Amino acid sequence: MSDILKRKEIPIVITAFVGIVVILSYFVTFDPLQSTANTITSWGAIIVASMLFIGLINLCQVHLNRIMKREKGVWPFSAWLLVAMFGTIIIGLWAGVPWGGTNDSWVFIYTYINTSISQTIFSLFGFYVISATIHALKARNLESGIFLISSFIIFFWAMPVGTYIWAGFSPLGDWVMNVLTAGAYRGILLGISLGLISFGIRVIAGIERGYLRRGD
Amino acid sequence: MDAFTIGVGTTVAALFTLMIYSILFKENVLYRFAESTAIAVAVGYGVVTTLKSLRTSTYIPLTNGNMLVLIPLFLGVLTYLTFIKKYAWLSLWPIGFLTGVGLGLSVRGAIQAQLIEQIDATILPLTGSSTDLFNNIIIFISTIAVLYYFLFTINFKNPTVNSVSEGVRKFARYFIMVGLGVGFSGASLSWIVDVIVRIQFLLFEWLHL
Amino acid sequence: MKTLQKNETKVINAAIIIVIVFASLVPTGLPITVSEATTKMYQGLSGLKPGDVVWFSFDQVFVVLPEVKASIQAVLQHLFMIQGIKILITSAYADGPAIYEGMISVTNKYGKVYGTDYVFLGYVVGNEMSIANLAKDIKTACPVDNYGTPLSQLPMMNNVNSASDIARYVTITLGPQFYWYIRQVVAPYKIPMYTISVGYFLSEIMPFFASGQLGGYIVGLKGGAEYETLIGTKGLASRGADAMSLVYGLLMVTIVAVNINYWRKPRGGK
Repeated sequence: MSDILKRKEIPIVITAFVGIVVILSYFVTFDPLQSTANTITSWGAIIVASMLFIGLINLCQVHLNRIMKREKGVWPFSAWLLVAMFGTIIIGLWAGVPWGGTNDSWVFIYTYINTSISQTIFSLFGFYVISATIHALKARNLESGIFLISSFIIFFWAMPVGTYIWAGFSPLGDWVMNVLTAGAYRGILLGISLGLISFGIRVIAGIERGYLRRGD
Repeated sequence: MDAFTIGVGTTVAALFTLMIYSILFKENVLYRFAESTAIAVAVGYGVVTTLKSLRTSTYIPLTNGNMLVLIPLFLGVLTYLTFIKKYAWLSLWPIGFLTGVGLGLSVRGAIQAQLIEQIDATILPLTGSSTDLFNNIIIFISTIAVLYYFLFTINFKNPTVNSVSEGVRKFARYFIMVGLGVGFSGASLSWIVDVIVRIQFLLFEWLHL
Repeated sequence: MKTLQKNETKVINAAIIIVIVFASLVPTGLPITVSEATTKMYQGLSGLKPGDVVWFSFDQVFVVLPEVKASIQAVLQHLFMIQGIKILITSAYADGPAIYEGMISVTNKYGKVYGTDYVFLGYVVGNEMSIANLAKDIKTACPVDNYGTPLSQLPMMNNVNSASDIARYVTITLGPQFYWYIRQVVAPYKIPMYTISVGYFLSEIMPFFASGQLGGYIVGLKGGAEYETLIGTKGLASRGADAMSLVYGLLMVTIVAVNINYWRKPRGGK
């Protein structure tokens, strides 16, 4: 019996059934189908919410491993990470956040710690992008020249001094985006959409099974 | 929060900002401390807020008599078996369910929103002012050319047909370069603004210049 | 010169910081030119009538907040300015509630009452599924608001049950989640959508603006400055606009210099 339950065909059938019901409910007006699809999508959200501790468990596994092995130069930071993480969770629970509550400590954590560090780390990319831009934007041939010119038009469109130098940068930038870029990206979008639809059909039909490799 | 706490908080935020920016000049212990804090607080924050959402979507319906939510809750618990090798195969059931839902939602939406409506928007009128006509022709031609570029990579045996095909592909590449140039400058705008705002936080909100 | 080349990255980083500090402390106050897309968004929201409901999908994360914070505040302030409309605010990201709490006191300066004029449902987990569930049946997808109050006890929610009751859909685009809105709300319910976008996703939303599926958009800090101009306020965005000009200007001058140097050398840049 357990051998039958372990077969990969079971999750494939689940995927196919669920996928077909959800897709058909959009195109076919049939009340039992609609309500089944609604139930399925609401269950999907509940399953995602239930998985909230998976990332937490994984993080604990990785960092506890480093602490136990006393990895040089790494384990003190792992210890601090676990202390800070559980400290944040305890403060959040004490503030009553899952029940709609809050307190100053919770607000302090996300306003002055979470926000500032995450935004600053993200802004580091700005420095690397500027360095990369200086090296990448070279007009080696016609195509890279077009790339460079369109980038410059948008730079002038975006900065106040650009439209101050010449007011025409605003409508020119609008035209480059709303006509030239729209056409190019629409072609890309159509290609991606066809790819997405064919990939979805392949998964629902059980041909693509990459998402099942976890069970191996 | 009182003014003192706000002042302390701003200073803490400023110090973390400086610790992170120190990596621009040299790898150091302060950066790694700040980085670990970032991960810890982000995960902790995410866990607490998701608990709230879980409570809203399961506990409240259960207290209202909807026992069916136990089924997805059970499926969600099955996903944790991925950590136990012997029973990891059970975690494939909820994964399959989620894959089906996710793909079903995105495929059905993509057919209408990303395919049909975009094709409809490409079939543009050849009437109107000369500017509209010019723009409509550009959009139509560029869409077809770029779609051709990505979908058809065939080498035709007939040299004339092949050279026309190569010509269309080359023409499409120019439009793609315009689009990529816009995308690249858009991305640069994002990153540069993030830097400006962080530095202005240090100048105006911390140092009160 | 060799030391400069060896430490090129550090020199560039230091130059960026110096330029931003200078531009921030010595603002030029140049006028902001409003783009077509921003104007369309402003007109689209200004056209709301009393009784109309706006769904504001507050899908935001801390990391990209600096770029769009000014834009979000300007749009939220505009919505609060409009008499008689109702605002339903939801979030598909965990960071949304905290960001909302930080903004609401700054933007709600027009006497709007919570529960009657606006409601915040908080974080609704499930990504695209949560958007689809909310669009289909709000009260089943999220039976209580962010503070635990049942929706049946909030007067505003008496006649708001699904996306069919929504007049405008305002979103924040950080990336591919833009497609969730288009697929699950705009296409099935045909609601006019307006978005506040980050710069790096700008080119991908173009086809939707050209097709009319997206009624208007504002992009990052520049968009925020434009929107502030339209609603007649001077906020966060205007402060950053001057620094943007100087940094981009420096960047473009450097790129031109690098290109001139490249083309001066024998073919191949060697």
